[in-house]
Order: sequence, then structure tokens, then C-alpha cells
Amino acid sequence: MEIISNLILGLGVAMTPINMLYCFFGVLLGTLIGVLPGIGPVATIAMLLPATFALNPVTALIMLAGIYYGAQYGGSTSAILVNIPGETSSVVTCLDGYQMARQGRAGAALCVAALGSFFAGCVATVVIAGFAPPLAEVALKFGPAEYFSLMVMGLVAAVVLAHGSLIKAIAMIVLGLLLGLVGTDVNSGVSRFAFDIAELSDGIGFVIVAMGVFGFTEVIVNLELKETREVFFKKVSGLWLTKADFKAATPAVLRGTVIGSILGILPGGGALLASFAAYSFEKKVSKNRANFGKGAIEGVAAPESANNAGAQTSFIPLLTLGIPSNPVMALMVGAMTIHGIQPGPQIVTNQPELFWGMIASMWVGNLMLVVLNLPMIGMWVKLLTVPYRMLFPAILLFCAIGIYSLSNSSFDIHLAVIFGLLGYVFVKLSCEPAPLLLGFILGPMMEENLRRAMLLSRGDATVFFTHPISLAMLVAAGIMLLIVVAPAVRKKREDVFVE
Amino acid sequence: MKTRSLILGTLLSLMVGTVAAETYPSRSVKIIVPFGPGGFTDVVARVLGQKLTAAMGQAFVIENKPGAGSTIGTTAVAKADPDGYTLLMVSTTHVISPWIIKDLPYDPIKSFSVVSKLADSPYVLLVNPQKIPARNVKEFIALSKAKPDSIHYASSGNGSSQQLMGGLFVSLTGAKLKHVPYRSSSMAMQDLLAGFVESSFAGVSNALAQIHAGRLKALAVTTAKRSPQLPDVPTLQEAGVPGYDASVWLALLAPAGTPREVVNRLNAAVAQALQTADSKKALAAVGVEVSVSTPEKMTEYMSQEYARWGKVAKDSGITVD
Repeated sequence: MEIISNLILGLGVAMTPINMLYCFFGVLLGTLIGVLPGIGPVATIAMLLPATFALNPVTALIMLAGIYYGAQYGGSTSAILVNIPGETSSVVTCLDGYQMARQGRAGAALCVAALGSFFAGCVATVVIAGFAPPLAEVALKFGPAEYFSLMVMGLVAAVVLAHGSLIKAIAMIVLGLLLGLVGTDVNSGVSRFAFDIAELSDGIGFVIVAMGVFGFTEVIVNLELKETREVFFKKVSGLWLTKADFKAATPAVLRGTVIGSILGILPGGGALLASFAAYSFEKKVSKNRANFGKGAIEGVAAPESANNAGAQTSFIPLLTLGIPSNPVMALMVGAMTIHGIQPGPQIVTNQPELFWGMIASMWVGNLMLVVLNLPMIGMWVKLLTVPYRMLFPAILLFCAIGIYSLSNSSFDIHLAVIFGLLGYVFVKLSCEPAPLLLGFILGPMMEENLRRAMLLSRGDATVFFTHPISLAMLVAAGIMLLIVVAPAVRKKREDVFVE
Repeated sequence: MKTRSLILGTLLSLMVGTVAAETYPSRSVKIIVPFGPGGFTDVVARVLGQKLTAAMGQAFVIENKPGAGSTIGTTAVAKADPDGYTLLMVSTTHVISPWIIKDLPYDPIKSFSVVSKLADSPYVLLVNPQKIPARNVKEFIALSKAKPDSIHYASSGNGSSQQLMGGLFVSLTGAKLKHVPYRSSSMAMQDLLAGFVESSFAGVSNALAQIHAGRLKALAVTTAKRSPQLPDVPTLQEAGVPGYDASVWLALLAPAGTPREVVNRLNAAVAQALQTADSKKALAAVGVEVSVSTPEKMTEYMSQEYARWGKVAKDSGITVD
């Protein structure tokens, strides 16, 4: 039972007063920046990096990690209460979370998000502790061909995300793909759709699009509504889950955790992709699928569990291979190197206190988060009573600060405003922004990997079918496509039958 | 009359310059880093910023302005007032980007006053030993010529220093390597480790862990002298590639026209700040060696580097877009 002795070693490190204190500080700060739309862990960790010079490396890393997974907890709060994702990985939580809040079930939504995250966080900790090295090897099996097929599967899943018209969903995905093409093409170095604007040459940031079409749009749409917040508040009932809620949410949490743990390990995946994938999957398999988008508790439970699991398992490639899978992990590499730690395969053997201490601290941190978040639900719900005329300027201000902090560029704020107006047009046309965002993320990765795979295979397209993992995913995508098409086919047949 | 006022004006501005230099810095100084946070340029800037803050009694604030091959942040500094309160942290990318990106609103040499060189970062030629049986550089070149374009080298993108290090290698040795660009150096490293690509030129610090774990083989370092972190790995010159001496360097610049006295004060402060044992240690941790110089020497070196990488970019067929 080596894993148990290792975890005990880790807990010994994580439970020292100083490490507990910094862990608490990290998760608290993470929750806060999670709640604030736009301000994300990347900017926060970057700003705190120099401050960690003076700390012991384990303490510093425990705090920085706490900020990252703490933000996953906080991000759901603003998604549920005001329909604005606090973190990019809470984008899908808006879909059902906000609808639950409108029905007066904000407390239940916040509660299931916190508990789901806690469960997922605990499982992910065990996954890292028990299987980190072998799982890292699995991540290495993912080459360009496998990534391409994974993205194909993701795009098919994006269609499933939509709950309105299929045509509109596809149109939004295509628009997302096109937006993703903006900037310098990685393979050829040619600039596309950048109109000689230097700020566009690296493409449009995901946060900018997400804040625009969710954050700014939400404010604009609400300006139209006469509905007052007081009415909204009166409908709030119950801060805890009912028995039926538990029954509905539990399988969703389990599935979300599994999906999140897997996607978190893959480079480029992490919390964001995990939440999208978990929502789409849940929508397909849930018995309650008709209610998705109308306040289904499963639609909150699955992506919230997935993003927390994904946030934590994305430490696996970092801790075992020394490869950062997303910008936050790249910052963690920076933090390690300034403390003289070489991220890589030998951390586990050379610095077991660091490795296991960090893993154990995640469990401690998750416990702190759930303790921190559950009693605060009542307070958050009260936030709903703040009049719009005060809440909205504040939200816009925080969005603007957050966007500016990404690269200290006011251009990004202008761009987000444009996306906000575009988002308003989408609302008027009843087109949904979620498929657009997924197309936006997946499109560039799909193109890049397609061309890289073709370059490496010297133009031989059969690589996508000869690599077993790639083939399996393409088959899965085909099956999903059939499921999407099938109801339409069935309907037509029924129509014919009626005639 | 005209000459007199000109002389007077010059005298005045000289005096103002002296006064400004004596009181410099009287408020906080901004160091623009034209890269995102977390990379080694950023880490070095933050170490330097802390040291300069302590030494000069005013806050040296780091501001990341990433994008477009470091040209966005660089443009901002080129347009800033040349008063010493806006500085720029650059790397080799500074003299590469003008060859890749057209119509830049600044000249990489003439638009700036060099404060000092700061550091050098050696690169290392890596191969995945499971894919490439070569034990040394000669065998590697021979292998690549035996099966042209079957060996790929991964880089962090078109026009990246990782690509140009490979481009220089190809032009000096005639090796037949094929370039595969990635979005970042860590993605390139991932595929090199997995064996989807066979070789790469990477920063020593990024590769150390993998070399020690035996997952990657270091064939040679790119500098004329061996890297202290990889004492057993020969230099490319030792390994039979005469004329190969390249590193990725970092330098601190100010807008052109910054008063001479301010530049000199900063140069002295930088030299003092970086020569301390703890600065050297902090920089060594991110894989760079402290290397300071006079403004004149660095200006000359930067011009040489500008010409050299321009030629490599053209030879490697990196198209100007």
C-alpha cells in the first residue's frame, strides 16, 4: 500500500500550519477571482509569482495550485446568479444554472456545483496519486492524428450542445471555426483575416469572445427587460438539495468526474474542454434531457464536476513529464523554475515531499473550498437582490479589468464590446453562443493537427485510420452523428406514415 | 542668431539631461516585457525589476504586453517618451521579427537606445533516442542525408528562435531536416518526447529534466563554450560544425534619444544588480547565464545578430508576410 504511505507523507507536508494557511489563502483568492468575471487565474498567478520568491517552494506551489482549482469553484457562482461565466470553464454552467436561478433554485444550483466540484476534486486527487505516471504515458500516445480525431469528435458533440434549431447550431459552429482562423497560421506563418492589425495577429483570445457574448450581451439584453430583481428574489427557495435533486445529480456528477479526469490529462484540454464535453455527454445520456437548457440540475452538476476534475488532473503531465498542458500550468513551470525545481519525471523520486505534499494539499484545499462555499451560498443568493443599476456597471467594470489584464491591451476591451453587440444580435436571432465558442476552440486545434499529421505522414491520409486511438474516436464521432440525425430520420418516417 | 539659439538650446537640453539624470529615477519606472508571463524573459525581467527597485529607490514595474512576435510591446516602447521611465526587455526575437513581419513602425536598432545586454541562453540539439540511433552530430547529419526529409525538427512556430537555430544548422551542415512548427515550445517538446517528431533545438533549461531521465539525447549545445548545466555535452563546434555559435540573448532597451546619463546610470545599476550571487543563481535556475555589456558593445552585437538571423531566415525560406 505504497500509495497510502505516500499520501500520509503528503498530508504531513500539507497539514503544517504554514502550508494550511497559504493553501487557504490560495483557495480564497481563487474563489474570489473565480466569482469576478474576466479576472482569471493566469493573471493572478502571474502577479503573485514574484511574491512567492520568499516562500518555501512547496508552500508557494500549494498556494498557486489553490488559486487555480479555487477559481473553478468560484466561476460557477456568477454563471448561476447573473448568467455571466466567472471563469471560461463555467461557460456551460450558465445554460442550466441561470435557468435554475430564474426558477428560484439558485441555492440548489450553487449547492450542487460546490458538492459536485468537491467530489470531483477528491476523485481527481486519488487519480493523480494513484495513476499519474501511467496516465502521463497515455497522454504521450496522443499525436497530431489522435488530436485531429478528438477534435472531430468534439465538433460533432458541439452540435449536440445546442437545444434549438440544428441548422442554427451548425451555423454558429461554422462561425466559431471562422473566428478561430483569425491570426497567423501556425503551419505556414501566413496571416489570415487580421487586416494588418497587430493585435489580431495572434488570433482572438477565448476570454474576449466568452466575456463578449456572455458577459456584455447579458447586460445589454437585461437593459431591455422590465422585470425587476425583487420579483426575481422572491422566488428563491431552499438553499439545500432535495432528495430528488440528489438522485438526479449523482450520476451526472460521476460521469462528469470521469470525463473531466480524462480530458484534463490531455495537453490543450484541461477544465474548459472537460466542462463542454461533460455537458454534451450528459445531455445525450440523461433521462431528463428534455429539460436541458431549462434548468436541469444535471446540466450544472456534470460540467461543474468535470471542470474541477480537469483542473486537477491537468497537473499530471506537469508533475510527471514536466510538460504544461495549459497557460496556468506554464506559469506553474515558471514558479517551479524560479524556485530551482526542474519539472519533469524525476520530481516524484527526487522530491517526494513536494510531489505528494502538493497532491495532498489539493484534497485539503477542496475541503476548505466546500466549507468556504456552502455557508456562503446564502450570501451569494442575496446578491440577487442587488438592483441591476448597481450590479451591471460593477460587472462591466470587472469584465473590463479582467480583459485588460490578459495582455495589458485596451484593444481587447474594444473587441469584447464588439462581441457583446454581436452576442445581442445572436440573442435576437435566437442563435446560441455555446456552439460558437466550442467551434472557436476546436477549429484551430483541428486544423493545426490535421496539417501537422499530414506533414509528418508525408501526405498520407490513412494515418487517421491506422492509429487505433484515432480510429476509435472517428468511429465514436460517426456514431454520435447518427444519433443526432436519427430522430430527424425517424420523424420523417412518421410524417410519411401519417400521410 | 540661429546658431546662438541652437547652441543655447543644446546647452539647455544637456543641462536638463544632466539634471534629469541626477534625479533619475524620481518616479516609478515601467519595464515592458513583450511576452506573456511565465517564460524565461518574464522571469528574468521580474528578478531584474526587484533588484533595480531595491538599488534605485523607485519601483520598477513589469508590464507584460505580449503578441505578434513581441512587436506589440516593442512598438509601444518605440513610441514612448525617451525619458528613461519606459524600458523594454527584448530577446533574440527582437531582431528576428522584422524579417518575418512586414511594415513594422520601428527599426529594431535605430529606434532604441541600448541599456545593456542581460543574459545568454544556450540551446541544445535534442533527438529522441528511440527514433534516432545517432550517437553524435556527425551520425545525425549522415542519417538525415541518407533519407532526406525523414527527420523532422520541431519548433515553437514560424520565425521562432527554435526554428532559426535549426535553419542555421541546416545551412552550415547541409543536413536534410524538415521543419514542423508548433504553437508553443512545450507542445513541440511533448511531440518530441512521444517520438512523433525526431529532433528539436530547445532551450537547455526546458530540456534538462528529459535529458537526465534518458528520454531525450542531447547531441550538442549551440554556443561556443559548453553549458555549465550540461558539462558532458559537446558544443556544435567541437562536434564538427565550425562556425556555429548562437544563443538566445536578452537585453534591456530604452526608446531612442533617452539621455546618455540616464542610460549610463541604468547600465551601471543593471550590471551591479545582475552580478550578485543570488541574481546569478535565480537566472541559472531558468537556464540563462548573466552576461552584461556596455551599451555600445551590445548595439554592435545586436546589429550583427540582426544581419545574421536575417540571412538564416532568408536561407530557410521563412517568407515575409
